[in-house]
Amino acid sequence: MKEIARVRKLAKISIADVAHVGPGTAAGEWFRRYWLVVGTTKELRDIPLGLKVLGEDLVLFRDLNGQMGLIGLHCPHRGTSLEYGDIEERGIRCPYHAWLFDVAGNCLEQPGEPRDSQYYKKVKHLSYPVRELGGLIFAYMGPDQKNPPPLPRYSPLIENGGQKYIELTRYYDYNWFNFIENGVDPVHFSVLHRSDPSDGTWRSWFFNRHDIPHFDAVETAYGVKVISRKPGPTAETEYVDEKSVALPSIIQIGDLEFTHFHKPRSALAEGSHIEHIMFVTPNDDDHFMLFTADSYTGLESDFFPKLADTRPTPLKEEKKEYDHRKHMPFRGSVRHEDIVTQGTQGRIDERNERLAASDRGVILLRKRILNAMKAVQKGALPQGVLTKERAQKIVKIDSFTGIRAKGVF
Amino acid sequence: MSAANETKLNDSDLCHIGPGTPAGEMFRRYWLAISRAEDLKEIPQAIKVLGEELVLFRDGQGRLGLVGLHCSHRGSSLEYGDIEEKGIRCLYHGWLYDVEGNCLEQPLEPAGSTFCQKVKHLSYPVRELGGLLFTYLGPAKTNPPPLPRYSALVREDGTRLVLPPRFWDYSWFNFWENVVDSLHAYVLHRDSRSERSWENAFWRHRGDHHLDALPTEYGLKAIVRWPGPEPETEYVRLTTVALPTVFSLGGRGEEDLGFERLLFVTPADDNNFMVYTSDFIPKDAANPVDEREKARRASPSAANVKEYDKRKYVPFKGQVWKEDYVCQSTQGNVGYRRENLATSDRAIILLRKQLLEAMETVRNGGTPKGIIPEAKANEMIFLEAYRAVLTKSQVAQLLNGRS
Repeated sequence: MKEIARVRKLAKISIADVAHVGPGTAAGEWFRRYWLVVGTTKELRDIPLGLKVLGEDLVLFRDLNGQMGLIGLHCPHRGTSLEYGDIEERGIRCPYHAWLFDVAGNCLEQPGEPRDSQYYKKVKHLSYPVRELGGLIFAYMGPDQKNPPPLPRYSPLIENGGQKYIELTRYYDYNWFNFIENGVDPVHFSVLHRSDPSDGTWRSWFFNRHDIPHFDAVETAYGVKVISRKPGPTAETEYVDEKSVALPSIIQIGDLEFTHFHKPRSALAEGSHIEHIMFVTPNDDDHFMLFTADSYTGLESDFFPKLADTRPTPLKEEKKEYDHRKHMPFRGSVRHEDIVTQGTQGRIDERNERLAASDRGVILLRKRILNAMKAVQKGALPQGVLTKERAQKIVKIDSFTGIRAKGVF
Repeated sequence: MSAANETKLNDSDLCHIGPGTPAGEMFRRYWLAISRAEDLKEIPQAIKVLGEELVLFRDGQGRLGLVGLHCSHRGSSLEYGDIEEKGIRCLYHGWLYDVEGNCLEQPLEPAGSTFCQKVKHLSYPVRELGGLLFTYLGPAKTNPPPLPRYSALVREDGTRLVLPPRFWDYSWFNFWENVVDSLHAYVLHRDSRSERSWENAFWRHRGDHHLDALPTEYGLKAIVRWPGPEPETEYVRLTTVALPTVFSLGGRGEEDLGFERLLFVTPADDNNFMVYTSDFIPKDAANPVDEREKARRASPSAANVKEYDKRKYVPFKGQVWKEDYVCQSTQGNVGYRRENLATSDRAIILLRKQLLEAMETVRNGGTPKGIIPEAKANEMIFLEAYRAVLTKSQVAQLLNGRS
């Protein structure tokens, strides 16, 4: 594996390389230039959390002083999993021989060694810096860890007087890129996620299968956005659905995962006032985690608690008793529908493809990501990594659902 | 194949025990435990040993057989065969094999056929000692080395108790090196043994303890000691290993001095192994078995498990075997995992060295450590193990090898 990775790095890379995220691979090195979400504040309790990130086995924990640590899963002594270790004031203690590590990977104690032993000072355990922002936990696994790039202040995570919501972590068992590409593929909404055209909803009208809205794919400072439009109620306005992919692996949409999808289009007159941001973090080449944060700035009070009941989208079909297909039933639930299509595509480096004109968003995104990977190969900063000067700026990723003035890009 | 052309052996070679591997060839020089005698009833018992699929049975005359699992004819599993007076018969076409792998009958062949005489099925010798069944998978099947007469298996001055076998799903070596890692007990098993003054004494003297590993005729001794209850005394815990995989654990303290517990580890394949345990309780010693087994079987309490704790092996604290399982099964394989061995790993370092030397010896055609010479075939072998308070001069003698 190592040998292959080395050859890839020297050879000319293609977009197929995004599938491989382990250390030393082109996409693995590229990912290691960004802060990646590895957990949520509300799920990191008082027990260690074992997790794989970019092919590395790690454990995330918060010591009793409240400091967060992301360190190697296997104890450097003889390899036992620290996921079963004890959390203490100063760090985490291996269950096997009680070696104690702090959040920076320093070994503080080795109780089995003689009283005057200095050996603990020589053991440095793998560790990565972690930071919290808006209920999410970010890690930086790249070079120069003492001096990492600024953690981008993504707007949905920043206090703005609105209401916030963080979903529980979701886990998927296919390649991360299948999920991300889907974010700039707006036409699939009209097919895969279609609903009964007579139900009077925004979805069945805007994403009508027989009247698919035209979309533009646009390059932005952070990545790519796709804008779908239909003529508005007045000559100067239009109905718009705009969503973005920001590098390395962020999707943002302007609807709270189809809250308005189910409403009549008149409900969208004022816009949705929602930023729905999704952070994808690869565990390895065939698994990823999805972290979702919502920000609502509309007038409705208790917006998220009220939605709790309506969010699960029920499956609308019965499973026939002779239907043994793995993912059945799936229709009716947008999340299931996405898993069936993305989870069966195969990895980009292994599947055969015929891209069409409606894949222009996908094509543009692949180009941007390939350029970013090439930039890292050459030692440059890839798109989406902030310089120190821009550290305090709020990073705004475009998304919109509703009516607005015609022709906005 | 000349040894000079072969690469130097390293720790990773300990993980591979199939036929033809250096560790596999080493294991094939020793007698290995494969079952409790009482567990082998009148039905065939499929078993994997050193990567080979085998079937263990006792024929109608009471003879023990260990033969290839798959019928020599077209491969059906003899685990589903019929046991008869003369051997085991394949369920598919009725071929009959005796305990030595001779094919005695092929009912579907013509009356004059002598084909059955040309078929020789894989077989290995099996012997019973002290309630355990042992096999020898080595090259000299008709002339194997002596089956070691470990005292706990042959003594008659007390009660012998063979415990149910245990089957684990990780590399045998992770379990094996743990047996000489005497200090882990005071960390990992602290909660499950908190009532014991013996372990607590260690924590009072943490940092003033010593761990020594001394080679013996058949393997090594691991000795942990720390300041004793009186001046000029030391608490001493001594355990012994005989190559390849016999461990003598001893009793829990002064009260059951003389108690013997032997563990026999047999790899099934690279990722699975079996542990056989035989206890011997001398007539006048306290019987620690019941209490030990109670502790072993008691389930760890789920009462304190938080509802958001989804870790695979939780709860595990409070049950010795599960505490061991969590630590050993998550380590990864030796030679592949990253390590930083410390002074408290002294016995582990010696154990690895001895096993690698044994592998090297076998590779060069020699007889490895732990094989009993013919001249001593009938001797009883005592593998010393105890926890006791010794005077400092006794300890000095012990460390000088004059115990």
